[in-house]
Amino acid sequence: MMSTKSYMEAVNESHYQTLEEIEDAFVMGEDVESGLTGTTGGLVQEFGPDRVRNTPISEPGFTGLGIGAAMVGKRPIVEYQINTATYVSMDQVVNQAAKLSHMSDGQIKAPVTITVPMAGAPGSLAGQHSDNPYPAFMNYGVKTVVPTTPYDAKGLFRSAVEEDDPVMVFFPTVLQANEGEVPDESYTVPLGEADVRREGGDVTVVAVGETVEMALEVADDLADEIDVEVVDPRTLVPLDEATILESVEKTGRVVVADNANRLCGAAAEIASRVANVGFWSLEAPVKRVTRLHTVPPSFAPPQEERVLADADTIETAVRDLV
Amino acid sequence: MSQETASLEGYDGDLLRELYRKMYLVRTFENTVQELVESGDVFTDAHLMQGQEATAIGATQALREGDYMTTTHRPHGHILGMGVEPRRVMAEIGGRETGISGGRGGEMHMFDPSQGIIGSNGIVGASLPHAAGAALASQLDGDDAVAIAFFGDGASNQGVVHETMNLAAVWELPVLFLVENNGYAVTFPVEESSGPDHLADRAAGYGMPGKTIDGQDVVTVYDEVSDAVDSIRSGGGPQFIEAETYRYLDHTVSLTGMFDYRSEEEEEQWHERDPIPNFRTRLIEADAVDEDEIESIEKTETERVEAAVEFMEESEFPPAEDAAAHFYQNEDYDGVYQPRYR
Repeated sequence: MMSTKSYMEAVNESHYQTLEEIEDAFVMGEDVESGLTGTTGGLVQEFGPDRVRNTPISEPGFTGLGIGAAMVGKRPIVEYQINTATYVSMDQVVNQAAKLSHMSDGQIKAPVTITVPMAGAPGSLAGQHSDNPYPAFMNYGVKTVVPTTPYDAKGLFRSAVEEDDPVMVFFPTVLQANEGEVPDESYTVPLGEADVRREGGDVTVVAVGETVEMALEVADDLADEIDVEVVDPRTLVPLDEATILESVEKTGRVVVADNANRLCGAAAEIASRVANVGFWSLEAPVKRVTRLHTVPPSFAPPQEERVLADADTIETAVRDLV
Repeated sequence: MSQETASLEGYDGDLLRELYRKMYLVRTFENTVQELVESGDVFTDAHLMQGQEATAIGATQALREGDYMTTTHRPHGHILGMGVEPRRVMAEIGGRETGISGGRGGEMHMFDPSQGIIGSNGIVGASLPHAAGAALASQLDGDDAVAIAFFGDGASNQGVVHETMNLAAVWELPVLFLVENNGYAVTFPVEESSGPDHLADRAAGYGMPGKTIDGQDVVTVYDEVSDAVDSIRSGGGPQFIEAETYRYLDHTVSLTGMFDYRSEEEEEQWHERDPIPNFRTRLIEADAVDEDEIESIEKTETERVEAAVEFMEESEFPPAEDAAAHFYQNEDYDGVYQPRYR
C-alpha cells in the first residue's frame, strides 16, 4: 500500500518500523522522547524509554555510548538535534567509529546510525545552526546519506540502520514538509545508488540534498531551451560514480550543486571525479554551485541568501555551459 | 590495609598463584619490549607499565567470561590480564599479521572482542564511553555482564570522561571506572592537573560510589574490584575506583631520562613498594605458595615471553595489498575504496 506522506512522516514511520522489526535497534539523543525534531514522535509511548532514550547534552558521551553498544551487537540510532553538534563529537565519529573496524583488522564492527534531522540552513538560524556538515565526515570516509524525497528518506534510513558500518544520515530541513507517495510497509533503498531524477540530453546537474529540488525547478523552467538531466547521488559515501559518468557521457556538460561549504566539499569530490574519469566526454568545464566559500550564513536574510546555493545560480551555471 | 600487613589467610591458592603468575608475565613482557625497543629490534616506541602490574592484574582477574574491558594507550598488562596469548600481543607490537590487531594497531591499539576486549585506545579518554555503551547493551539485554574501563589520571580531565560518568550514573549502567593514578600525565603531575585531593572524590559529583585504593597490592585491588563488580553485576549501578600506582619508566621508552619531573627519592619510595617482589615474599612467608613453585612459574612465563618474541620475529607483516581491507564491514560497493592515483 502506498500513501501520501510528508518527508518527516516517512522518516518517523521508518523509525517506528525499524524499532518494531529490529530488536537490537534503539534511539537516543536530546529530547527524542518528546520527538522534538519530528523523527521520533510517538515512539516512546510504543517502545518505552529504554529504546527511545533522552540524553543529556553530551554529544561525545552519548555518541561514544552508541558506538560501544554497537561494538557488542546493538544497532543504535544516535540523533543530533543541531546540525553542528556533530563537530563537538568529531573524535568519537571519525577517530573511533569510522576507524575501529580497520584498526581491529575487521574484528570490531560499529553499526551505529547517526542522524542529523536538521541538516542545512532552516532559515535565519545564523552561523552556528545552519550547516550541512557532511563534507567533513566524507573526508574521513564515513558512509554518508542525504535523502531528498519522502520515499528515499524512509528507505535509506532503514538501509543505514541495517548497514554493518557507521552511517550518517542527513535529513535536509527545507525538504521535510515535501510530500510524496511512500509505501506503508518497511523497505530499503540501497546505499551507493544514485537516482536520475529527471532525464535530459544537454546538461547534467548532479545535485545533492536540498539542491535537487532547485535543479528540478531550473530544469522545468528551461525545458523549452535546454534539456537538463538531474542526478541525485543520494549517498555521498559510497558514491555511485557510474550513474554520474553515464550521464556525463550523454550530455558532456556538468554542473555539480550542493548547499554545503565549497572548500573540499561534496561538490569538489564529484567534480574532481567527473573531470578525471569523464574528461574525454566533457565539452565544457565542470561547474560547481555551492555556498559562498565557507562563510556562515548570516541571521539577516539578504546576507544569508547571498551565501546559500540557490536555483538562480544553478540556472546561471547551466546557461554558462551551453 | 597495606600489602605489608594484610593476611593471605583464607585466599585460594590457585588465585594467589594466578595473580603472581600474571604480574610476573606482564613485568617480563614489558621488560622484554623495552629491550626490543632500545635495541631497535622492533620499529616502535612503547608505552610500558612496569610498576602498575598489581592494578592491571588484580582488576582483570576480578572479571569473568562475558565481561567487557576497554583500556588506554598503555594496555599490555590489561590485555595479558584478560588472557590473551603473549605471542599475539608481541606480534602486534612488531606490526605482524599474526598480532591481536593483525598489525593494524601496534602497541597502543589492541582489540579482541572474543575475549571481551573492545579496545585499547590511542586517544586519551576516548574509550570510556565504549565501555559504558557495552554496559548499556548488557542492561538492555538484561544479562549480567559488567564492563570495566581503565583510564589514567591524565584522561580524568577529558570532557568525554565526565560525560560518560554522568550518563552511566543517570542510567545506572553496569560499568566500573578504574582510574590508574600513576601520578603523571606524561610529565604533568596530577596535583597540578586536578582539583580534588583524590580523583575518586569526583565520584560523588557524578552520583556514584568512589574509593581510593592501594594499587600496588594485587590482593587489595582484586578484593576491591571484586566487591565493586559484584555490586555492579547485581544492579547496584556504576562505581569509581582510583588505584594509586606508579609507572617506573617515563611515558614512553624513547623519552627515557629526557625530562626532570620527579625526584629520585620519590622513585625509590615507589620501587620499595614494587608489587611483584613484595607479593612474592608474602606468598612464601605465608606458606601460600612454595618458592620452588614460584620459580617454576617464573621459568614458564619467561619462556612464554621468549617464545612470543620468536613468534613475532618469524611472523610476516600484513600484505600491502590488504591496506584498505576492513575499513568497511560492508565493502560490496563499486569503487568503495578510492585509489591513491587515478
